[in-house]
Amino acid sequence: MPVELYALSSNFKTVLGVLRSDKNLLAGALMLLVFVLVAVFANLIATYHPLQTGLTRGLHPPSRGFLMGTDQIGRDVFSWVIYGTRTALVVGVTATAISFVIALAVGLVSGYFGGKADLVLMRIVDILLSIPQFIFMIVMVMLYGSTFTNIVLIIGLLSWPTLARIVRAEVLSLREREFVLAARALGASSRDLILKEILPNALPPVIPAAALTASNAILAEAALSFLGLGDPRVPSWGTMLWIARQAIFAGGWWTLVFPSIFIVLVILSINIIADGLNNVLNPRERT
Amino acid sequence: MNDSRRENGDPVLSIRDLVVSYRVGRRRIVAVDGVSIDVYRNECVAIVGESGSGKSTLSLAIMRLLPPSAAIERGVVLFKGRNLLELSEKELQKIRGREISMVFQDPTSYLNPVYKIGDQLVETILTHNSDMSGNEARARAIELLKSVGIPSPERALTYYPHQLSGGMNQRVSIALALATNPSILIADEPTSALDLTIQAQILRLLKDLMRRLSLSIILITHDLGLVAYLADRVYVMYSGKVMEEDAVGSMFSNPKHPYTQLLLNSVRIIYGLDTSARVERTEGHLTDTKGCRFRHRCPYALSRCESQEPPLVPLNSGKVVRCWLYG
Amino acid sequence: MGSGLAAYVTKRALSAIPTLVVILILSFLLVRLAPGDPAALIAGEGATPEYIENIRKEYGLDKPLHEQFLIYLSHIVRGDWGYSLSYSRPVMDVLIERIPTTLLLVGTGILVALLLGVVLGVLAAVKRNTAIDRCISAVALMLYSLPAFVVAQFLIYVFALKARMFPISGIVSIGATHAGTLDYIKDVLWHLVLPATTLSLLLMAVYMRVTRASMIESLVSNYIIAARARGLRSSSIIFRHALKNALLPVVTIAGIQFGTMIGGVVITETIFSWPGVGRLTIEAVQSRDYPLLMGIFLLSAISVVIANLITDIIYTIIDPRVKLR
Repeated sequence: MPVELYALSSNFKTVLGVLRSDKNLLAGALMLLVFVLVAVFANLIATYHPLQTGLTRGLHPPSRGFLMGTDQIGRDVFSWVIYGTRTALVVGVTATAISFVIALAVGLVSGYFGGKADLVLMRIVDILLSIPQFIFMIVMVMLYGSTFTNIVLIIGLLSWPTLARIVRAEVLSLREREFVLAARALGASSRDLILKEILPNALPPVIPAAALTASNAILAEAALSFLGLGDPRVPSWGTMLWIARQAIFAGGWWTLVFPSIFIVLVILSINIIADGLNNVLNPRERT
Repeated sequence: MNDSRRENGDPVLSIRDLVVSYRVGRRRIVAVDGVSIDVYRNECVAIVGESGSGKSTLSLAIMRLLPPSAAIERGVVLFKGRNLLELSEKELQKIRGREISMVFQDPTSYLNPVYKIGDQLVETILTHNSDMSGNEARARAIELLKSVGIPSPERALTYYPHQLSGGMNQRVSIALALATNPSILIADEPTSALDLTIQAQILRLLKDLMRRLSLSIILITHDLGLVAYLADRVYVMYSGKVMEEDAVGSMFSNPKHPYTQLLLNSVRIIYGLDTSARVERTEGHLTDTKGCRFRHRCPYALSRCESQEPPLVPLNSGKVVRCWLYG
Repeated sequence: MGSGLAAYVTKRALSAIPTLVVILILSFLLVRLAPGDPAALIAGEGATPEYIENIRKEYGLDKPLHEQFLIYLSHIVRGDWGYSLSYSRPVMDVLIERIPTTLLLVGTGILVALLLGVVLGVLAAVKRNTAIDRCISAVALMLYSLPAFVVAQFLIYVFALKARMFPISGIVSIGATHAGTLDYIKDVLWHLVLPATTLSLLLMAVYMRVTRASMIESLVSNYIIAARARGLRSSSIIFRHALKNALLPVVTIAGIQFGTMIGGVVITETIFSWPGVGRLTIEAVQSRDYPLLMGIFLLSAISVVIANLITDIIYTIIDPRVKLR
């Protein structure tokens, strides 16, 4: 087991150990857990099919049958918000996973091998970072269609550059550390070095950044849906918030308040986790 | 107490029984554990020890420059009759830089990188001489730079710290420290970050300034070469406590405490020339408060040393030692 | 120093060119490789078949790709960024008309956010780990987690609908006549409040956090200890010594944000019907006006590159440690 990670793991023998080490981190994780459970058990919690319209004749305030009221076309806000949790979390996880994998690959190669590969890859990163992300997403969705898969893919493909830079920075500093040089002296192959020694130690600083990527992904999807560019077959908080824009003129505050609370809380919990993880895993960055 | 200094009257600075601790996580670690030091007029007092002995903490504590995680738990720092530990921040600011000044290791990092050194000098001068005009302050700055041996001082004013060498920056720092003719200069490892030849120059400068300005210098160092060259009296610290105190000559010729002997044995000192003596580091021990702090490394440790901590005991020669070997 | 700076600027400007070229290639390829007939896309929704054929000839869409690119490039460089059918005007004209409006909003938003963010960040750093700091940091975290559409809608609900203090949308009151320029300016400013507040609240969080972290690092550095040892006043130490060092990263971030702002205000401008480039994006989407959309894309990408370049240069000027020679 790589030396550094051993030191880390002897303090944090389990994920639970990590969580307990910082009170805020624990709170954030618990909050997020609630949403994860909601997403997983959405079909048990929701009262109606979220896309079903005409349940009431127009806007209806929260009542016993409709816990969060209904919108102008008679959709149950509660069911929409519940299923929306699933949408948001799927977006967050999938887009981040895509970004993470690409970022790891690029960062490891770039940082470890350096030279021409590094120059080229970092140029690509620079250029990608110069592209205005949101507008690019809009353009892509316009040109290639607004299916859910497209959206998740596009978000994932735009978020990897930032992560890749962080991975590369870590790899660069790890490359010269004693345990790597020692392993190499013992005859380890590049591939083994990268996978067994460098990769596990490069991960800790990247994880808080990955959490932030997730929250940005959720925001991006919600923003796209808000502008009417989302997948109409998928219940997204963004779409409901767009509906709210008209609804609040007719007094329909519930269409604004409930999705807002959910999205803010999910983003907040992820940010708390990211902050907390940053404090725990990168003590030198601690403020 | 060392009598040869009594002729200079009462001490300018008198630290009595100072205890300083740091909060590390949930524990408190005592860095300075009941230290008493006297500094008289026109002398250089060296405080010698390895890293972790508490000497730097001591130097920062005098003017209360410690970080927020540190706490001064007990003790008194008497300066010209006032206890510095009881003064308000405003009153302290009148003493810092004006009556007591400090220079540090690695001069470039102790100067603000985004301001020219001329601006930093003028600022310090004006802070302590509010009735001076800008031009007068600038003239004084040039004068100061000359007195610390900086060539073409007018041009030096326009430089940023990173544009000057370490040696130059240390001279600038000394100029900053002496801008208002303080009584005491605290020098914390003033030459450790500099090249050997530059070290010699800075030391000669300090000795010269000490004489010209009747300045007292508190020299914090692990380098016995500096001590030999500059100091009149020496305190040896280990693990937060003073282990031995003596005049420099008899300290080197007749060290009594086993730790002092250890320090001196690992060094060949050529009196008058500079050598860098690095004290070898052995594994540190977290202070356990029973018994003598040094017993783990002491070749003469008795069973008494395990259970009882020796007090500071004055010997006939004027030396003061903390060791059961001497009573 | 002068020649050093000029050389540096030139070098950085030159290195930005490959980025611009790649962006142009990207924008070129996006439309050509999208599903559907590129000519129809470029022509826009509602184009007549003859118009589409004209487009095909003008942009050489039958020719091989590299030839097409050169034609495309020549158009772009000449300022011909296409024709917007939905506005019946060249894309460039529409863009130029809307840019100042967005700049007004973005400029105000960033300035206010900087002022408040820096002040609060400094306060939090100086009073580190006290109740004030925890409060400010918690607020920053909250603001950082709020999406634009939530903030904007809440502001509208509370201040425009309920309290009726500010208008709901637009840049000037509809159908109002103005007695002179001063009146006009007042109307615009009145409309500016809510959208600018939205932007400021969102941006403020970043500045608060970065300033705080940067200040804390500055306050524990060696030169601050030395400054204290010289007896300098606390206010002097915080504002003259520590802050100047601490602001350097903040300036960088603010500068870069200026560049990414065009993409960043789409939501805010849409909600407040603020007639800038952001709102234009949505209008282009809704009328399927691809030339206009691609024009916006190009514009925002170029503004990112330019903003990065300017920020880089400004940083070089204000940080004395950066050697130009």
